[in-house]
Amino acid sequence: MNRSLAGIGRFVRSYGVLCLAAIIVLAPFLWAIYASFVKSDLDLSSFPTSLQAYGLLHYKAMLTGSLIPRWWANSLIVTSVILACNLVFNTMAGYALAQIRFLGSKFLFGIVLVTLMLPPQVLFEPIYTMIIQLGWLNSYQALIIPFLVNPFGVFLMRQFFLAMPQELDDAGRIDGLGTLGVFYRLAIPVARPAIAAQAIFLFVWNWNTFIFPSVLATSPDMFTLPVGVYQLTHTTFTNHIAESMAGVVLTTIPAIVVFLLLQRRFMETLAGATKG
Amino acid sequence: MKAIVGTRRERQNVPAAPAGLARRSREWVNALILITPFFLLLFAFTIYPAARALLDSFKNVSALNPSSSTWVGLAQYTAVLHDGSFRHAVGNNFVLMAVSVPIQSFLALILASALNSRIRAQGFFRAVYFLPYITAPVAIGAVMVFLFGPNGALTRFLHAVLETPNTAWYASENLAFWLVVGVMIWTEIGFFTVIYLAGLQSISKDVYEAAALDGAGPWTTLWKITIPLVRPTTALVILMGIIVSLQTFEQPYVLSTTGGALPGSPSDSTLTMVMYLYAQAFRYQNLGQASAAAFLIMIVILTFSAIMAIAQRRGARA
Repeated sequence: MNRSLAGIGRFVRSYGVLCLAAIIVLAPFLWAIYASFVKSDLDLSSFPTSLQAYGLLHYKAMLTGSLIPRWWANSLIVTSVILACNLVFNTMAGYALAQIRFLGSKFLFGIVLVTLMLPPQVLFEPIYTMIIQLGWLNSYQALIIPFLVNPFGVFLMRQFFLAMPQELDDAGRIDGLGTLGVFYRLAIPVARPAIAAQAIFLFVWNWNTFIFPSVLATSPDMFTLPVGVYQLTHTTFTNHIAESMAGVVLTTIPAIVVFLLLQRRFMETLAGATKG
Repeated sequence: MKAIVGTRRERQNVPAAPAGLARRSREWVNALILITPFFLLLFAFTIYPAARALLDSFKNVSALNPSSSTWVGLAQYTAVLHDGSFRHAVGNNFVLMAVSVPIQSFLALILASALNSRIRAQGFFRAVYFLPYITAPVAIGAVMVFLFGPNGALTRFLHAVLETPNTAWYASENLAFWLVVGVMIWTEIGFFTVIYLAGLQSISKDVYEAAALDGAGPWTTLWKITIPLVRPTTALVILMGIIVSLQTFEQPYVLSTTGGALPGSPSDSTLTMVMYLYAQAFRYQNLGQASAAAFLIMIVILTFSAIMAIAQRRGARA
């Protein structure tokens, strides 16, 4: 009796803490969604009860009268090319460094570790200068090509492939597959959770990134979403809160959708990768 | 002895040796196919630019005429170190780190412990806490600008509850920095909760059941069992927290530039090291000084990482 009471107490406490934290985390999101539907900024602080005060006009304005669709397309093009190349190239290199013994593999992995420790800030100025010298400013190349590989992805995939059972490789060889065949037909399907984790991280980083695109694209039609939203909320529309919030919501939705689609695999891999 | 020598000679004599060589060179070709795209791109867009930045940091480079640079030794580094703005930025980063890392690590551990008990909806809470981490910092900043603006919902709420001044937080010299700290903690907490949850799930449930039978309360359990057992995870969470806080850029940048104010305003109170670097590189076109600042930031980050690694090894031995 006493123990079950204590159990209930623990249960209530846990839920209390979790719900309070969830409210604190969700409040700004809910406020942004609420604000994006309020027709007039003057009504924002009064939380109007009349349905007349709400409408889709800011979304209509954002989707027809602003560059948001263009920025959405830019972000989608840039992020998907970066993501596809990263997944292919990082996974290939990670597999080679984990499963093939070749001269120089230790040295190359050392290079991966060193670049992993290099803070991205070190690259701001030189990449900016390179892009200017290449004449790529305000082009898709500038937003894509410098970011096609990531040492973190290689590290993640190498750790995963190191733990891959030797039997899988043996079985493939018995069936007459070569090294590349084993990689393509057996290792990649097994590595799907790790690839999903890599995909979420790389998607989130590249979809949300602001610093590089803000200097590599200076003309509004080449902005990515974060740069565009920054301009929207910090210059032209400063006094149009509701409209800005519609822009914020439209920026955030794709990231949330991708996260929800991949989150289960992602959490599993994150758990595996940080253990021990 | 003889047998061993014999086998070795046997091994060397059988035609397997040239076959092994052929196999090894074939493996080399396979490896080459797999690694070439990655390492080519890594060289072109990470290693080469980093090396160039390192050289630039010892030169007097002009953005307009890069070929006319001269070697200036450590002059760029001393210029950065003597710049009052950079010193201010370092101070801000250190305070941000000292405040946010313990708070977010502790809160993440509490949330992870609560999630780790038999909770329905575990996946729901986990996903909710992760939302700020996957949202663009620029978007979060934009929302916070309005929530903490003049007459903003949270400005008024905190004024009513905690009697904080009823002004725009990002424009107040006393409040702007703490707004940045709060937003950073709010953003990172879910990520660290998930990492802690992974660490907690590797602790055997028996330990907790034994503690409950001995009548240990939630605090005793947390201090005597959970915290000692998740030490490796804590080291990881603290290290990542340190790196994030030393690299902070977007949140203070978005918050401080509201209404066209200078980055880091009011009066450098929200300036961070990376914001300083960004301004030197792209606002003032001071490329040498920007590179020097970048490597100073790297030295600071590597120093803290090394201290953490040593502390962790000492702790593991004790």
